[in-house]
Amino acid sequence: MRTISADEVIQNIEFELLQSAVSHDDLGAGIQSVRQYQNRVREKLLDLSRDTKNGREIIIHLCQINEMLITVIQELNTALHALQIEVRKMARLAQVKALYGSAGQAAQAGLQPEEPTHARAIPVSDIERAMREEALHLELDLRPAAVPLIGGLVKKLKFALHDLVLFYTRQLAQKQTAVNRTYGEGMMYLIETCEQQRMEIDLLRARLAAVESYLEIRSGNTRSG
Amino acid sequence: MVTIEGRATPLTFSVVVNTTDRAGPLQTLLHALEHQSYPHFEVIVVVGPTRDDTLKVLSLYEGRVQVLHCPAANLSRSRNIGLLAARGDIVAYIDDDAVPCQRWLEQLAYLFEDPYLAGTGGVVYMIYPQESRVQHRIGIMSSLFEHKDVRTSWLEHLTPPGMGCQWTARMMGTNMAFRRQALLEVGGFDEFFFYIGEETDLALRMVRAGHVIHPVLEAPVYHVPASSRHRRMFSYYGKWWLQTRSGVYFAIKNGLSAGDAVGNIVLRCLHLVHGHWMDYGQLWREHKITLAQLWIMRLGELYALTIGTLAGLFAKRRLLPRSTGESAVGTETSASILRFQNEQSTLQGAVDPVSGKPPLLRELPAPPLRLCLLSSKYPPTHYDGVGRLTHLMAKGLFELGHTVHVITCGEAEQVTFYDGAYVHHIPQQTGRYSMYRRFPNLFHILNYSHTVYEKVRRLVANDGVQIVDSPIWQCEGLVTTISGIVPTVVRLVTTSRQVADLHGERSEDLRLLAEMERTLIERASYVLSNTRATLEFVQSVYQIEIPAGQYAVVPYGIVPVADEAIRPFDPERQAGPLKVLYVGRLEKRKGILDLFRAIPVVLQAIPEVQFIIAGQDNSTHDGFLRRTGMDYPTYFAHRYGSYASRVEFKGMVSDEALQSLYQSCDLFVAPSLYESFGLIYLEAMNYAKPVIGCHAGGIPEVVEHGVTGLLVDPGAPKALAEAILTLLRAPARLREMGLAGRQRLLEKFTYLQMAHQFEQAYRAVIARQ
Repeated sequence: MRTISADEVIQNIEFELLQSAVSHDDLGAGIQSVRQYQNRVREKLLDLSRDTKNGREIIIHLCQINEMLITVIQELNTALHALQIEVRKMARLAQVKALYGSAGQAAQAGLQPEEPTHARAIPVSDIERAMREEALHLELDLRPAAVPLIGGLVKKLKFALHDLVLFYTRQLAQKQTAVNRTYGEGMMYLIETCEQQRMEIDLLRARLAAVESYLEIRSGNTRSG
Repeated sequence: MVTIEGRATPLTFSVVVNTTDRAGPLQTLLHALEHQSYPHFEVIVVVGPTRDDTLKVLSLYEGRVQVLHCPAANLSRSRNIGLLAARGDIVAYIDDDAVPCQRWLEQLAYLFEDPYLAGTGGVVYMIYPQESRVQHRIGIMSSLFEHKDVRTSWLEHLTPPGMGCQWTARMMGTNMAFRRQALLEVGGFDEFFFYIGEETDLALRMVRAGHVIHPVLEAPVYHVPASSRHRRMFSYYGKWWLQTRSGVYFAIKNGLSAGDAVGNIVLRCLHLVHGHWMDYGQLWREHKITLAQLWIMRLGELYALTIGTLAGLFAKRRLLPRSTGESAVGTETSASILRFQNEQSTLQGAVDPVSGKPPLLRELPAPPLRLCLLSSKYPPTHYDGVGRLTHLMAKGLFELGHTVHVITCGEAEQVTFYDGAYVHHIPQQTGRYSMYRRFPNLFHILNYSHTVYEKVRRLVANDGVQIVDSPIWQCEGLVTTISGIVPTVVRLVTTSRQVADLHGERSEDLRLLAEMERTLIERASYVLSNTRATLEFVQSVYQIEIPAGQYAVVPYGIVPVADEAIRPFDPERQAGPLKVLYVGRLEKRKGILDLFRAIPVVLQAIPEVQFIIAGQDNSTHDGFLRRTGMDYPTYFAHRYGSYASRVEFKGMVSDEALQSLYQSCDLFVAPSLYESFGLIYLEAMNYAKPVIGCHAGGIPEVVEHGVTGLLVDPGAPKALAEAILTLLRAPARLREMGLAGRQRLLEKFTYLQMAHQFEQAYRAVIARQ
């Protein structure tokens, strides 16, 4: 069995410390939760075997989805903020290392993170799906009236009433889709920014490594010279 | 953190406290506010129809606190009175029986830097001694008065259970803050709510008016629920119908506004009443209330349902007139607040938030410190030597006026206040460092240390903790030390490497553990050792040299018992056998086998001696059971059966019983093969008892050979027996050495002396940082 060194354990601790800045799992679970709810609501509202839902219930569900999306965006924003702090920290680390030329002194300044960032993809396809208009499309659901003689009349009346409800509901659904799209776009923007930040961290690390090796070579040359 | 200096005009706060008949807790709160890190705030106390010393308490703060009166016992009205008098940009409400964290206002100021935020609130820890728990943390509430008070994050329960169609952040009056302008715009609190529900009703109305309400996981407040005119502590009988009255009104008003179905509103109101009816029935069946009280409470529910329904349907909301808000907003500048803190504020000692007891030193020469001690086991439940020592440190540091936080392992997250310290219980987690699962000790220690770090991070941010003190045992402060977020002091005690060596254990897991111990020492800001011997031993074992100026030797201390409690040996005593006491775990390291071998020699010479052995059998952990198939008491009975009648095994005893054993013994023996210090010797010396120990570890720095007791070589049972016989045969020396030990303790080893030395070391480290 390979012998584990203390340095290795410490590096893992430092990596865990860096990881805690952004809670990917929590966000993933949140997005998953929105998707599940969306699917459940869609199934419930468009279930042809049941009575057509009234507009109020649909609105309530839509508002709920809005709330959930807001929450996810809010948490994404927090995560982004944490990531920005990390980027600044990395930049400072690069500066300190360039100034002192020693990893030890930089570590004393409390700036140790060296591990590569493990970017985890946030499932954007689900957000895209939730942004489409057909996600909220409702169909007319009418059963034949079982009333003798005036059954046809009742059916016509019901049809007219349901059509009216659907008319307004669809209008609301369209507006809602627009709102969803705005949220979705916001989320996509945040996700993209997250990715950019991650790339920036990796770039900074690469530059840092280059600066380090340059300084090492230079100090070696100075000694030999 | 907000940079106070960074703003041209810092945000100002009006801290509003609504109080009635709670003079004691109010004084504790005002005392705590003296220590707030954010200075730009005024305090407004709105006093209800009080009958106690509240006004007397407030007279102590004359000229610093705005005192207003509310003629009725109506919390909403009281809150509105405070709001109208407020001049700060932000109005922060806190209960009169709560204590805020040191950076409460600083954290709130940081949040309100966001111009869109209209209201927020932090965590509420209930530190009520009988039932400590997280009382509120980013809770949510529906338009139908359904609530979930404690959530770990905003992403938890994205789909809340319940009937209400509008869910929003739930505010808790104990810890909430709003922009004054936004509060006035919505008419303040609805005065129909006597108490309960008014804060969430406000949050709902603010949200509907387009404001952003966002409670957070930070800025905690420690809540010690006190009795009020609506409920009495330690009693189940109370005006609980007031909850129903508020709930029904809330559900009708907000349910209708939010668009809840009428059927759901009716159902919810009936649920409220029915739920209380069932609860009262249960209380009666459990004999917690009488039959008469049961029916008074049940009829109260019906009354509440009627009143709540009528008011909800037909009465207008009792809000502040819109004109009041418009005229108040902007008429006063924030510069006009009456500052609460004065130049003496920073020099006041911390106060016990539960009892209100001040420390021994009330006013200090320098600002008190905010410290965090780590100990995975801590009194009063289960604790070991490290836990007991940490408790004594916390107690001593509190008496010197400092605020002490202790982080310990617990089953659920909670905060208690025990003997001078806020004790933060954190559950053990195992979600990290899975790559080390095959090393169980390392795996658990890294996970626990990481959990500790997360708590420390919060304490640094919210409570302004300046330094962390970690024992080397179990490396609790390892991750915190590596993170570098706060200076860490390592307390050297017996290390796991030493224990492993003494028990002859070798494994990769223990090697890594020892490596972590070394890392902790190397990376710590400062090292504190209980004895010089421990320091030298650790340096030689780990082959490290701690530079001068990086360490100090601070001997431990205990609480001296009163002079009346000590029982020095009486040489004239005629009756009763001589009693020899051993206290400690029954394990190899504690020298229990040497004592077993010495007992027959002693009893052959003086047959009437009685040996009392108190401590938990540890034969499973030190491998003795595995090797012999017997635990220690069984082994003694098996091996030295003829002497068994003169030896009494007490097992684990309570603290009271232990003190009684120390008091009643004539000689104390603990032949440990190694002790970094040996608190047990001090405990015997406390009762003026002579002690016998070994020339090992730090024991010679505690026991003065030939003066306060005798020392023998470790692992030498014959010499041990000789020493016991020497003292038992010289009654005058028993008394003389016992009294000398007591004197030595009072001069060098009291908990206050120890705390004072710790304080000096901490101050030096903080100053250096």
